[in-house]
Amino acid sequence: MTRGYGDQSNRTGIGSIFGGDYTLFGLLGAVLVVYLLYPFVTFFAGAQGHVSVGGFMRSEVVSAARYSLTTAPVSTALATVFGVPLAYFLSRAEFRGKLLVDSLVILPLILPPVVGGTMLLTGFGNFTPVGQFANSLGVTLTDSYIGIVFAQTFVASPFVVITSRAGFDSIEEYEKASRSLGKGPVETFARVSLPLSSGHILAGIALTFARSIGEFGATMMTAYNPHTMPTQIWVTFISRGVFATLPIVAMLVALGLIVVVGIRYSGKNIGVNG
Amino acid sequence: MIRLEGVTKTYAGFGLDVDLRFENEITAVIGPSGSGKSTLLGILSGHDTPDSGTVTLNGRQLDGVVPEERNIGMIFQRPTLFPHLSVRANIEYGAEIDDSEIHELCELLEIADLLETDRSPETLSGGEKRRVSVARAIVTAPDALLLDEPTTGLDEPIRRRLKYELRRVLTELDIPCIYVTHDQNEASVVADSVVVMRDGAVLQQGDYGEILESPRNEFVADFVGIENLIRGEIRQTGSGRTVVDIGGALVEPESPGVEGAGAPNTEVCVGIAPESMTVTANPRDDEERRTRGQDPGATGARTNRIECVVEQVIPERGAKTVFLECGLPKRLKAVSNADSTIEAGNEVVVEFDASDVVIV
Repeated sequence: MTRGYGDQSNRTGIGSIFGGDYTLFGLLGAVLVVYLLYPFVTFFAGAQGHVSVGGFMRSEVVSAARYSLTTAPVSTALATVFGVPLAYFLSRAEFRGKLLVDSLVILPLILPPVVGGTMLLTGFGNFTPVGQFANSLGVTLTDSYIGIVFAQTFVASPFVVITSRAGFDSIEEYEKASRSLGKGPVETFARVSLPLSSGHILAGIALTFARSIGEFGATMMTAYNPHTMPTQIWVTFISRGVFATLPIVAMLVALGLIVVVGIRYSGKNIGVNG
Repeated sequence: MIRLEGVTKTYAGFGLDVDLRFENEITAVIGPSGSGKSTLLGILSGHDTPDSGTVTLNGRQLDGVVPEERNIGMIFQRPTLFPHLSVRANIEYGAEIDDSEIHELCELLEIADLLETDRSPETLSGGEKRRVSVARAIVTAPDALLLDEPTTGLDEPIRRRLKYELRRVLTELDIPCIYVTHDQNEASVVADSVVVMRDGAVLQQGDYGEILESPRNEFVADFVGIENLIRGEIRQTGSGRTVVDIGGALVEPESPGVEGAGAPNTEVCVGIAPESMTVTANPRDDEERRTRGQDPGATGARTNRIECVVEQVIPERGAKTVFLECGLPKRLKAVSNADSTIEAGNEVVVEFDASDVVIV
């Protein structure tokens, strides 16, 4: 049993639950924890009979892994290169329409990814002006490597923007200190803002990467082919059943765990104390 | 010297409008939250831009000059030491100076031992962090120094020591040091002069003693510690005497202090600092039981006497705060010696010199 402040052990019943003791919260939270854990247990328990090295070496699995692992870093890099400056700008600048830009950055998180994919199709599809122009240059924007990157960047980039911005928001006074000590904005950004926000930025990059590699809804619309890992899970599930998806599911879960541990580690470096 | 002429800044629900002059001394800027103290520092440091007006530092106009080119040091409420740099790297961040100079400065601030190892700022105590932030700002040889409540959040003993040390170090700099605080006691210890602000305006600027003697209004009087403020009417003036009726007692301030206060029946506000009052436990044995202050008769000063009943006694550090019911519109607050035997319910006499009565 968890304890609140001070010794509450002599309290009983309702008094114990509401009298500074966290038991009620723990019990309610436990329901969610069990719910989150349960599918992992059932899936991996049920998939035990399907474990084989050959499963990981199947051509469609290798191909999907190759596409996911080559597109997600590119999407993450694009989101970082453009997203971190945007985060800094939104953190520091005041301008007309800021609320609109703020909302736009969050929108892909709120929208169902498939809706994002639909929007992207109307902007970059083969029959749109942009798509036709790209085609004339021999570049295909949908059902291609680029189409996957478009979908991933659209859906995942808000993570790096929002997380980085939180970092920049928390260090404004340090920047002021640096400026008052005679350092210009560029030097201040390089010597103070970036190092102090690095934990937040790295966490944002990790989340963006994880979201990119797991992207399915928007990718289905913009680039069903070539199959990424999530798309391949869907295809395999339809054709061979749920446990046949084990190799790709296991890889994605492992990647997810690595990202979670990475964020936890970088989180330790985020704290900026007075 | 810093001058602000016609400087204004408007935010939603707040407007700053000041004309100020800061000499090469320590000036405390005091006022409640939202009075514009931090905005003033923002404008001086260049982190905020005024809507209108000009700021000059030693004759140099600062309009449009970015913070890094102002050479104005700033010490924030939080020490803002860069956590990814060592203590030494923090101090050297703004200027590379000789090792001997750094040591000299750090010895002045009693932080020389922190330089010896590559200590991270996160391992420092609150007081050490503040000292390092002061060293970091001073090392750049600024033309002015801004301090935004630099002792906030420190434990009382550390805070007490630091403010005396700051006074010593800042005095040596011989530049305008603008010390924002909401603590009038700290202002009186650290600063040579005081600016009292409220609602974005300067209510009064001057030597602390001057403000205590003639506060411009009740707010200023209250803020500098003249807590007993009672409205009354002038009953008698002329022939070297002025008497004010404060609704239950007659008070006699020193006449020069009330020159221009007005003719009989003029409404005035009388102010007496709690520390100026002497509380005598037994009205019938005043010489023996006097708990504080000198015999006013000995100096020839006029003494006011009001009979009161003690309502509450609160022991504080080195003294007792005594609240008194004296039949006046407001209860009085006085300060008595820590060893005073006064208790709630005692009948007492409160005495204060005419020279300690201010007319606001």
